[in-house]
Amino acid sequence: MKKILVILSIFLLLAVFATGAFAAKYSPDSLLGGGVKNVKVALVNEFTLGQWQAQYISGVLSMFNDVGIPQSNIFITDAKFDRAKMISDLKTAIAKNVDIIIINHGAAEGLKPIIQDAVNKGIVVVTVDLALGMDKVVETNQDDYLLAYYSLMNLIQDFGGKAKIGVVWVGGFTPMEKRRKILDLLLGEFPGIQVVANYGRATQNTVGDTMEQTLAVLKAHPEIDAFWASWDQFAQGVYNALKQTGKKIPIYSIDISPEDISMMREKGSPWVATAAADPYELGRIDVRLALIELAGEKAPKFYLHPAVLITQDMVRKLPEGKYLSKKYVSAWGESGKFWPEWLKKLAKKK
Amino acid sequence: MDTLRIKDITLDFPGVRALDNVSMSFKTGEVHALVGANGAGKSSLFKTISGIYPHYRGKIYLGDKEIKAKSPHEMLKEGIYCIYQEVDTSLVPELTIAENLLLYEIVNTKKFNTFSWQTIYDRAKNILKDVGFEKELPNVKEKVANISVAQRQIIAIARALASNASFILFDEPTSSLSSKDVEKLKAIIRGLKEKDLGIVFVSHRLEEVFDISDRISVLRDGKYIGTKEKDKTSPEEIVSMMLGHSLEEQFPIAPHTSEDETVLKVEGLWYKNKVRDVSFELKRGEILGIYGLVGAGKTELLHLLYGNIKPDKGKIILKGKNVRFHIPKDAVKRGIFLIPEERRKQGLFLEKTIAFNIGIANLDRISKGIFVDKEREIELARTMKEELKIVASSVLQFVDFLSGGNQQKVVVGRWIQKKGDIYFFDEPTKGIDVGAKSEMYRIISELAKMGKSILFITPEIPEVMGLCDRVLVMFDGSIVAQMRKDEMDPKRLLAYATGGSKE
Amino acid sequence: MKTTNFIYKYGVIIAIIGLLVIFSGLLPGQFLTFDNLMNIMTSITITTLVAGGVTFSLVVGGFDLSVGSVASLASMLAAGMMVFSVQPAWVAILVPLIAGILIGLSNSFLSIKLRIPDLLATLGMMYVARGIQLVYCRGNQIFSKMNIITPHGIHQAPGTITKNFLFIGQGKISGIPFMIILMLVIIIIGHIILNNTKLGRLMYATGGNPEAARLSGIDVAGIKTIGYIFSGVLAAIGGIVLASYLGSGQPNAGDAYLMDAVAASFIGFTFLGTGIPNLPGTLIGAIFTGVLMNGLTMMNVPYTAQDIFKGLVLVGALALRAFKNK
Repeated sequence: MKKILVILSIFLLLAVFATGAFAAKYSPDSLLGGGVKNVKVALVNEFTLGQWQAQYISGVLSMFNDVGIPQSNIFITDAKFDRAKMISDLKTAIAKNVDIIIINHGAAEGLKPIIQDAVNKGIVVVTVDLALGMDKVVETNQDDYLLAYYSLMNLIQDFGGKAKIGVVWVGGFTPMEKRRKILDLLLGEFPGIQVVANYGRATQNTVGDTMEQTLAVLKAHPEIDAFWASWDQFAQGVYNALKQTGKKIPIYSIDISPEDISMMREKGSPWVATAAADPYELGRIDVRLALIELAGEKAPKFYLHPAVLITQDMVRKLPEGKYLSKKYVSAWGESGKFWPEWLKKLAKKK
Repeated sequence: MDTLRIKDITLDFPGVRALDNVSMSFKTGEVHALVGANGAGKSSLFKTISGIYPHYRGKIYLGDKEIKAKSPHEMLKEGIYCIYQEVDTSLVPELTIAENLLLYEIVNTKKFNTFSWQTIYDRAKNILKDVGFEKELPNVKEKVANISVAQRQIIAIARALASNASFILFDEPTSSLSSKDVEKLKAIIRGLKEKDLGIVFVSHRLEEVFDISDRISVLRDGKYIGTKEKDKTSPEEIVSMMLGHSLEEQFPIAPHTSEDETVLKVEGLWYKNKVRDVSFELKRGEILGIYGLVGAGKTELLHLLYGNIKPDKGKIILKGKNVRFHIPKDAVKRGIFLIPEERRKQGLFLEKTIAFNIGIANLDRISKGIFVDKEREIELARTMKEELKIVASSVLQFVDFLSGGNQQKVVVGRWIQKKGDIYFFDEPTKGIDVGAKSEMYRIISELAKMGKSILFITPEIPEVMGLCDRVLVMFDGSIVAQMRKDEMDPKRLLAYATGGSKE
Repeated sequence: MKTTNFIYKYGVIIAIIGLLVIFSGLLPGQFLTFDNLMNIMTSITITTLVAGGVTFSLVVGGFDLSVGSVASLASMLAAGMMVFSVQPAWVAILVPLIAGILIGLSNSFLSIKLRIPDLLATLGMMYVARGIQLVYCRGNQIFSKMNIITPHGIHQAPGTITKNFLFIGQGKISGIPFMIILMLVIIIIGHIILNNTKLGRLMYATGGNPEAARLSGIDVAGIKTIGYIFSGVLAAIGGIVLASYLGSGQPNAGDAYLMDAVAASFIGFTFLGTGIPNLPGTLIGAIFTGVLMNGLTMMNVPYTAQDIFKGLVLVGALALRAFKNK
């Protein structure tokens, strides 16, 4: 036992030598004057599974690249839904003395005290889809209320207010909780809409798990008229299950990706509509907001990323091999938001 | 005539010199026994010659040619074939006798496809015919798993003969054989000698050494002591060469008187077909032997009395009270202790120290409350080490590295300080050297002198005659005879034990 | 031979020191900070507790694969007791502990009475515990004031995860996270039990050679049962700490600890050359992997590739052991 104590005290002793360095203060001029090469950033992800995440993360990385933050200064972690690991990852990011931390999803319960530490150290923190209600943290979100409203209202319209629906949803994620609220609101408004099945789990194999659950649900509830999938990963699972059984039950969902589009475009696809916001642009906006804060300028406390409804007709009109862009969906692509002059210069300079 | 000569063989292991400048020579057409106490270097020498320890220093000559013992396979090519104590290690139990006989050939052939089952069986039969074992192994299609240990050895010998070996080395070949099979093996070895093969024979048992060998070489502490012609020496001389001094008295004549008080009474005990209707009484201060051959049910009987297995029928009466033990713990609580047959498998915690091994049965004695007092634990182990003359650098030595005799003493030492009246010894001298054996006899007779009752299983007639006050002879699960000391006679004992006569 | 012995005995510690030196050289001012070292220690706290369970099962000659699921179950029960049943913190701690005991009893019943091999028996219980957990939470996370969906609609859960309970995983005592202190205390107590008490002797004897233990008058079945109960309880404590650390109950969140725990236990075998399962070794094994994983994360080595290092470390430790046994 003594040996353990010795080892522990070595740990503690070593810690004494370490000094907590404070993040250097930046300004637009110092960033333009080459200071951006010294900016260190971290992207702490709860998970990176699915196309939404892929688009969001590539948006973040492309913006880092555009302004000239060196690759070696970017620190990325993936907790793979393990929230204990996400807490540890966030601590690691802080220990790496980064200037900016972007926190992608996660749960407020365990993260809050650690985020407070980061803020106290002068680190700029931007969150996406994580409700914190903390000062000095820029919180960005997709407009989840509207996403849910668009997709559900589309369903309700199509069925004239009368349908038995299967709901695929999982609790415990901020955006999910918001989407659920709209469902409950609309269920009160339209008593003809009945939820006959309610399921869904976020796992490393969400599509496969959802598919299996859907197959079981289809057996138990052959009367289902439509599915509402609150996440495109769920929608893909339902889609696969329907394809396997050959049933044509319409799917209304939230989020979009190239993969989703190809499924929606397929002949006779039951996936009729999805509500989405552009995750790639959201990623770029989050970086811009962080840089504005870093430069000592004031970024807004909240940012809500606009949602649109994307129907099967719309995606079928896309030329082969093309993805959504401003040309086809006006809410897509470069939003032109949060571009102070110095930031434009910084991006051009590169 | 060919000779196998070894010259100045030295073999080192970390911290130990197993062989120290050993030189000797073996001839074809003779049986050469290699004897020595445990740890004398017999096995090391055997394994060096067989190519298992290629890091030896010194030279090995076959005739005039120097050969290098690099691997068993190399030595086989030179015509030197070794049969290990655990003959099973060189056989595949799930394959047939024929496949095992032709194993090397099957494995090494490049024309595997050309083998047919019939060819294999025919060739196997031919080999057995050539070497003269067709009677011993009549069915070559039998799986090795289903045949006896003796038959397995015959396969190994047949392999050696088939590969034109000129020397066959045996490492304690009789240790796992029944006495009937030992006789058969001796006959086979004599036959091999007549075929002008050289036999080297490592053994513990002087009796069989004197029976079949022509010359006897003695090793002690890794050194070569000497070689004697069998006809010009005596067991006493060989023993004194092994020990380095003459053995004055193997069996202690410690006078002890068994009293009339019955401590343990067994009535009509049955267990499957292993123990049949066994009844007997054990008196205070008595050494009661149980003699019988392998498979007679001796061990099962002890384990029934110890609560390790449950009898189908019958009564066990301990000091006048009917008892029923569910697990050995119940027996231990009532003062019955077992020194089991397989000390490494059933007796010892090999990865633990001497102190742990002794302390484990004496936890109440060495503890304060729930905590083990390590000082008391060591103290107890030291007492036992002295009392039982356990040879070890300290009681904190791991038992795995002790010699067989010292390991056995550790197992005994576990029970000495406990309050108990009955000790079960299951072949306590199996595989331990002569010196340790006589120590063990001394311990047993001292216990009896203290008024403890001893149940002593042994397959060795001298032990029965030398140590026991009374003996029960078991055959096929039943007690077929009881003899007092004055009635004991080797021939009668063996006759009863082999089922030759009924009382 | 002497060098190999030395490496065998102190290998893990040398490796830890080596890693500390390398990482602090590569990551100046980042790696060797008090905060980061505490981060490493917190990240291995739950692993070590669960690994302690595995170690106890190994000591008595078993092998408990259900520990990860038991931790999951315990964390869900702890959260559920407060959120669903509005119980105080002590109930939220007690109930998971009882669950741990019951799983331990089931494991020993299967392996001793029904003679199912330990690995298979505990594998079975792993699924059972996981299933109970998922049924209990209906596959959802459990958090304060969560929405509960029932066939009759949705309503808000009545309870919250209490402040007292959150202290276990989030509180600090003079700057040091309480969970680290708790883990160290438990490991020390466990080590004292194993090394200094009668029970510990009996456990090591039972695991070392069950037949010899039985014939030496030890109630092998009873001792093995106690070993499995310890295992279940330690895993449950791990789960309780996890629930408090996350401030919520996450389905299957404990499962991930199984393999890390097994690795820590086996790396621990080599500690100080004992070659047998022991708790200080388990702790050191967990610290070793913790330091390695933290350093690699900081070096931006992708999470996916880190498993390769973890695997190599385990294989290396086992190889060292095999080499020593030669």
